Amino acid sequence: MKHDDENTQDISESMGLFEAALRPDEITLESPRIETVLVAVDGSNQTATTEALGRAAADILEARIVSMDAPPQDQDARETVQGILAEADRHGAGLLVVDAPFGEDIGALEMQSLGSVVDILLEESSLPLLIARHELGDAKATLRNPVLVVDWSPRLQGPPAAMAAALAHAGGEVLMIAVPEPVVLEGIRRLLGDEEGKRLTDELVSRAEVRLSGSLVAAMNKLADQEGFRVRFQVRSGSSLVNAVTDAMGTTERVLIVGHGDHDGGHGLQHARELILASRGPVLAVKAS
Amino acid sequence: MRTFPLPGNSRTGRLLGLALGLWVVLAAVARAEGAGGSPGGPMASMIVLGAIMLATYIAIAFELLHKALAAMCGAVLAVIAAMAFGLFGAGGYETVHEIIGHDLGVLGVILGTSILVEIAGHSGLFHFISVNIVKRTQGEPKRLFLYMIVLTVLFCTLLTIAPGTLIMVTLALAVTKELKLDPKPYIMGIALAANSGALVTFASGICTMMVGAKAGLHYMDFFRVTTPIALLSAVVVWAVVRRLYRDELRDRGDPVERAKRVQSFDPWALVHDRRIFWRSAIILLATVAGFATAQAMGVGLDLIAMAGGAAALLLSGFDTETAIRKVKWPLIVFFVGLFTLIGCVQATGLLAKLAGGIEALSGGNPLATTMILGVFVLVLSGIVDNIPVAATLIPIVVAMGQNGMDVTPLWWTLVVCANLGGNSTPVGSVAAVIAVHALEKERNIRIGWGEYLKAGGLTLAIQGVLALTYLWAFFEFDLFPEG
Repeated sequence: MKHDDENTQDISESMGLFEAALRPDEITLESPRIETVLVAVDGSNQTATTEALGRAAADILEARIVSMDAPPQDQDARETVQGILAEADRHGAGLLVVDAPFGEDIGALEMQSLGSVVDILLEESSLPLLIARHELGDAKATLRNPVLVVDWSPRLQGPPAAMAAALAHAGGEVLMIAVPEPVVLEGIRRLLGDEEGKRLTDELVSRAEVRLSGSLVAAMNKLADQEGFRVRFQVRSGSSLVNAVTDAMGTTERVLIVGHGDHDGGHGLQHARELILASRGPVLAVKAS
Repeated sequence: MRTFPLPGNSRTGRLLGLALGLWVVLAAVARAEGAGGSPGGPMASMIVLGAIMLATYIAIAFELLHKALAAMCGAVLAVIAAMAFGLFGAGGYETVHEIIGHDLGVLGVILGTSILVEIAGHSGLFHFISVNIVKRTQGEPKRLFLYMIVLTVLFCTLLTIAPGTLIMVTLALAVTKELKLDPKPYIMGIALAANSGALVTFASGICTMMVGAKAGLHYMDFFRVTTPIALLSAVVVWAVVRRLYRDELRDRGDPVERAKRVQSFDPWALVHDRRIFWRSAIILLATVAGFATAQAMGVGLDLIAMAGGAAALLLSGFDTETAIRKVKWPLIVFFVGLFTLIGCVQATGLLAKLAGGIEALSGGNPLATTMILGVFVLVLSGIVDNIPVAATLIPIVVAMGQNGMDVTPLWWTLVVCANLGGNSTPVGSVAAVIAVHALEKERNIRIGWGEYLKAGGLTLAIQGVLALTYLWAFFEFDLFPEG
């Protein structure tokens, strides 16, 4: 007797969908109140891109914009960060805009790091951090079409999703992607051992992704109705998080929104760093703790 | 129909089915010989090609080979044998392409609708509708059961039987798990009602499409002939399963708590892309409208189906590669092989002889022929996959038409009985196979042959009597549309 894998997969996919609808968690998407956008520039050749991105963000969020010159690069990075945070505090900023050059603008060694200022800001600041990377064509269009990386931790999902909705409102599109990473799955399979590990099939993991993301998809759909933007949700199996995200970004310029936090179950700071490093387009890192 | 792990007694059942089929075939041939026979080729070619066809059917019925591979092997052997016997005459090998060419219409309909249905089924639209409807039941078991039967007929009508059943079975499994209800009555009801849905319109089931395309039945005529009996047979399913599973459908637990639980279901979690959602709904409805008006426009249903598939690919934003990969290619390969095989067997004159035999069995009475065909198809379709049953009977009915009989009643009988006949056993229809497989896989609950036969057999017995009476009335009062 032969099994029909394709139908088994179809059954599993459909079950995952219904389970998502039948077991909803309450996710509240509160619009972020951002009255001031603080743009910190350091005089590098990325300055124009960073400023354009800051202006576009302020325009979309209907916030005022404040610019500051960050101190010279050879100064202690922690002091630079303290200066930026003090300025943000003084102006009541709700969003920080900085740069972390991408690719051809920087040396090979620097490509492996975001720069210490961005690194420290990611760790220490609770404010959303918009990071300019490569030069942009249309900064406003880029921000209005965010790619939101959805993870397995419901606690982490609300704030980044609310930011995505705030940027996309009135005509934009939020592309939500969930990525069951092969490397993570392999690790879990090894932990479970031969017998139990075999039961954790890719099909089951995709189903779990759909189910766990269901509440967020529902909340975003309802918000999209009110705010007039489009939502798409995709599960991208079979490749690493970075590759799946890069692939999803495609050729359209989009801002990548990544949630991160200290507690976990979801994508931690390391994941956020990897995604920011790999992204050619701007990245909005939102802390969810 | 696809292959699934099957309950242990299935081989015995199918062996009985094949024995019955073989007996009828031999009886018909013998009768034809006795009655002077009908025009045919040399006996040797009939025996060899008949044996190839029988061997292919055995391989399909007993899953000795994947059915697409069995049909391909059968086709290759049949073509070689036909060439050896010189059955293709002056046309030579080109005749094979002519044989396949005659059935391109039905292949086009299957291909186009497969793509469209794949996109519509994955758009979340039908999942969304079904959860919204379930919310209206407040989780009350009997009402939930009724709504599921209605939705099954509707979804199978619009999406064809396999995807419609898949959505409904998974809905039933998920909802009954959430509400702590026994899934069996719902799964049985869906498996049986799906076959009613498959005969509502021309494009609702593979069998229906095959017969409809070959016979040139008009889309709108289905509303007049098959839709009423489809709805009536769905009522039979509702009544029989509700009665047999009355204990399981009894209202237990706290209705207030259950209603609260049902109200918390959130259908918006099912919408992954609203653009695909709405556009696929519009394209699906436009395609149904196209089917209904194809005749007036002077085009074939295959053109409408292909246009619907192309529009869905073009406008939904759904990935083209994924959608085309999901087309049931094994089914297409199976059909090409089967049609080639049957075309070769037809060239021997064996099927014409069988047609003559059936006519002789009924004494040349058209009403008796209709009733005999109806009973034969009802019984055989429960035991063997109804697609090969229909595929074999189609050229026999064609041959009867060529012998001068008015075959319009036979076509409609074939549509109605081949679909309903699948209800008696857990291997009789694609809906039953999906339902039984999903219940076992997801909930580790088995429906054995005995239990299935009890509900399915009783349902089919009532549906069979109703269907034959219904067809008799159509015959008697000359209600069948003009052929």
